[in-house]
Amino acid sequence: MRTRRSLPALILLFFIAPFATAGGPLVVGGPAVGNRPAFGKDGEPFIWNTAKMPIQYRVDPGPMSVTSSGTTVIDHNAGVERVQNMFAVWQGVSTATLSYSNAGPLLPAGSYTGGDLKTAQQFNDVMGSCNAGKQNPVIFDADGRLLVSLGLPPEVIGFNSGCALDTINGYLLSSAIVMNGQFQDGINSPGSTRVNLELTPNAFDEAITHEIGHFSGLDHSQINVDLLLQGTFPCDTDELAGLPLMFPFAFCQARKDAGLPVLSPDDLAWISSLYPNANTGDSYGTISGRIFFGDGASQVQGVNVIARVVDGSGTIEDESRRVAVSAVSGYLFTGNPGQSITSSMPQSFENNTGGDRNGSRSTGLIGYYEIAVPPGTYTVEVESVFYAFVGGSGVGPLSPPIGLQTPEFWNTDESAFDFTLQRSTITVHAGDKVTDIDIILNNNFFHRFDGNEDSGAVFDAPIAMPELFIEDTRA
Amino acid sequence: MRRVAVTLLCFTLLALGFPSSARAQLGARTLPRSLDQLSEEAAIIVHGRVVSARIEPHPQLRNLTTIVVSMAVSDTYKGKPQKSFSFRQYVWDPRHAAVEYGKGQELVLLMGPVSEFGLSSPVGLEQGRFRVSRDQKGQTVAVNGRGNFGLFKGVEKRAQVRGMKLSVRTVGIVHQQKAGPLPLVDLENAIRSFAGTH
Repeated sequence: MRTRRSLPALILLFFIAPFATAGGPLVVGGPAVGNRPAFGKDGEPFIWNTAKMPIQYRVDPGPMSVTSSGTTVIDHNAGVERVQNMFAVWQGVSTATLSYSNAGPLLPAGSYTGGDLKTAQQFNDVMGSCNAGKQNPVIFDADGRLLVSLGLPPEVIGFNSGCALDTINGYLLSSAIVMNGQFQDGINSPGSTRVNLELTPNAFDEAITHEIGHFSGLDHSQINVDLLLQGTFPCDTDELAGLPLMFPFAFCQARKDAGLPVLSPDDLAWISSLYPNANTGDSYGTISGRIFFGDGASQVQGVNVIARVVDGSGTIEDESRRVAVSAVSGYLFTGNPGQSITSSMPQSFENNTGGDRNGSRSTGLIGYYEIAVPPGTYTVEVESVFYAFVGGSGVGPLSPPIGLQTPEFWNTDESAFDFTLQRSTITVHAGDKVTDIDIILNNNFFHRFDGNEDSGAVFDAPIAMPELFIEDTRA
Repeated sequence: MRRVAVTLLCFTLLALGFPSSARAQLGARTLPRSLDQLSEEAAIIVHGRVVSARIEPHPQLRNLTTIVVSMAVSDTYKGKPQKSFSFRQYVWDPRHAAVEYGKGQELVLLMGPVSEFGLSSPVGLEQGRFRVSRDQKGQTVAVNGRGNFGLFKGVEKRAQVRGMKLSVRTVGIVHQQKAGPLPLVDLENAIRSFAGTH
C-alpha cells in the first residue's frame, strides 16, 4: 500500500516541476542534476520544433460567445476567424519562422465526444489529451460558465495552459488556450449578482493574443512600467507603443484602438529571437552583457535590462519610449539552484535538494542578458522588476523580484560609484553582436568594490550634466 | 517487490518521458476591477497566514492541478467569522501558485464563491490577493498582484450613486489613486465599508 500511495506523489513531482520564467523565454533548459535527467538543452529556451511548423491547433466547435439566455452573439465561424487572426499576429512577424494552422475541431477525449465543450468534466478530459501531447485545444467558454465551474472569477478574459514538453530535445509539444466569451456578449453588468463584464473586440483579441504569446513560448516583459505609477487613462501613445503586449497585465486602451500595431518592438524582438529566420540577421543586432553587484565581480540575477533607442530630434514622437527591448538578467539561469535546507519537507514533492529543473547552472549566466534590437543607437539601463510582479504576474526567474535602490544606465566608465544617470550610447547595425555591455550596480555596499573592474572614472567627480551622451564607437 | 519495480519503472519512464507533461503558463489575463467591486463580489474576505499549501490533482478532475490552501484566520472582513479557512483553487501554473501561497505568508484574500467542484479563487485573481508585509517604517501594508494599481478607480462616484458614505480617511486614500502598498488598516477599513460589514 505504501508504494501505491507514493506513485501519485512521484508522478506529481514530475508533472509540477516548475519553470524558470524570464523576460523573454517562458521555459529554459537545465542540466542533469543527480539522478534527474537533463531538462531540454542546458541554457536554451524551449520552443516549438521549427521543422514541424505549422503548429496545429484545434478549435472548440461551439460558438465563441452566447448570452446567458442562449442567444448566439459570435458564432463558431466568426469565432474561428477571430482566432485565426489572433494567431496571424504572431505568424505575421516577418523576422520569425513561426506558423500555425487550424487542424479542425477538438479531438474527442473521454467524456468529450465532440460538439460544443461546455462542462468541467469535458474540459478535464480534453486537457488530459493535451497533457498527453495529442492536441492543442482552443476552447470557447461561450457564456463563461465553464470558468465558473472551475471556480474562476468573471474577470478572467482567458488563459493559456502549457501541456506537454519534449524534455529531451527542448521543445514545446502541446498547449491550450481558453477564452471567456462572456466578454463579447454585448452585456456589461459589473454590479449584478452574476457579474458580466465586457471588452471591446480589440481589447479582447489582444488579451488572447497575449496568451498566444505564452502558447508560443514567451514570458512576460516589463517596459515603460512608469505608466503604472502615472495612472492616467488613456495611456500616453508613446508609452503605449513601447509597452509590450507581453506585459504582465493589461491596463491601457487596446493598442489597435490607439492606432498602434498589436505587437510592440519588444514582442517582435523576442519572438524573432526564439524563432529566427533568414530575415532576422538583416533586421536585428544584439546587445549583451552582465549585471554585477558593486564589487564588480558578483553577478546579479533578476534585474530588468532595457535597451532604448535614443530619441530622435526630428520627430514629435519620443522614440526612446516607443522603441525598447528588455531582458531580465540571468534569464537563462535557474531561479532556484537547489539546496538541502528546505529539502526535509513533510511531503516528497517538496524536496528541494536539486532545485528547479528549469534553467542552466552555468554560473557565467547568472547575470547575463542578451537583447535583440533593430538597427539604431541605444542606451542600456537597469531597473527593478516591479515589486508586485509575483507568481502569475512574474517577470524573470525570481519571484518575488529583487529590488534595486535606483535605476541605472550603462556608461563606458562603469563602476559602483558612477553617476547613475550618466549614459553612453551604443550604435547597433543589423547583424552586429555588441558584447560586454556590463553594468556595475551602485549602492551595493555589502559587495566590495574591486578596483580592477573600473576604468578609473571612480575617482572622477560626478558629472554635472546627467543627460550627457558619450558615443560608444565599439559597434 | 513487483509493485516497487512497477513504481520505479513508471517513474523512470515518466522522468525520461517523451512527451513529458508539464504546465508552462503564467497568470490569466484579467479585467481590472476596483476595491469596491472586488469587495462586493467576494463571498468571503479573510486576513490570515498560510498554514499549508499543497499542490495536488483535483479529486474528480484528475487532469486539472489544484492548490489546497489552509489559513489561520486573524480577522474576517466579510462572511462568517472563522478561525481557519481552507480552499481549493484550480491552477494551471503550480510554480507560481506555490509562490502566491507560500507557507507563513500573511494575506488578505477576497474569495469568490465555491463551485460545484469545490473550487474557488480570489476575485479578480491576482487583484483579490493582497500580500501583507512591513514597510521600512515598520508599518503593516498590503499590496495586491497589480501593485494596487487602479484599486480605487471610480470608487467615489459609485459610492455616491449608491448613497454610501465613505470615511474621511477612505476618501483621502481614494483621492490619492496611486499604485503602491496601502496601510493594512486602510485596506481593512475600505473593504469593510464597501462590503457593508462595519
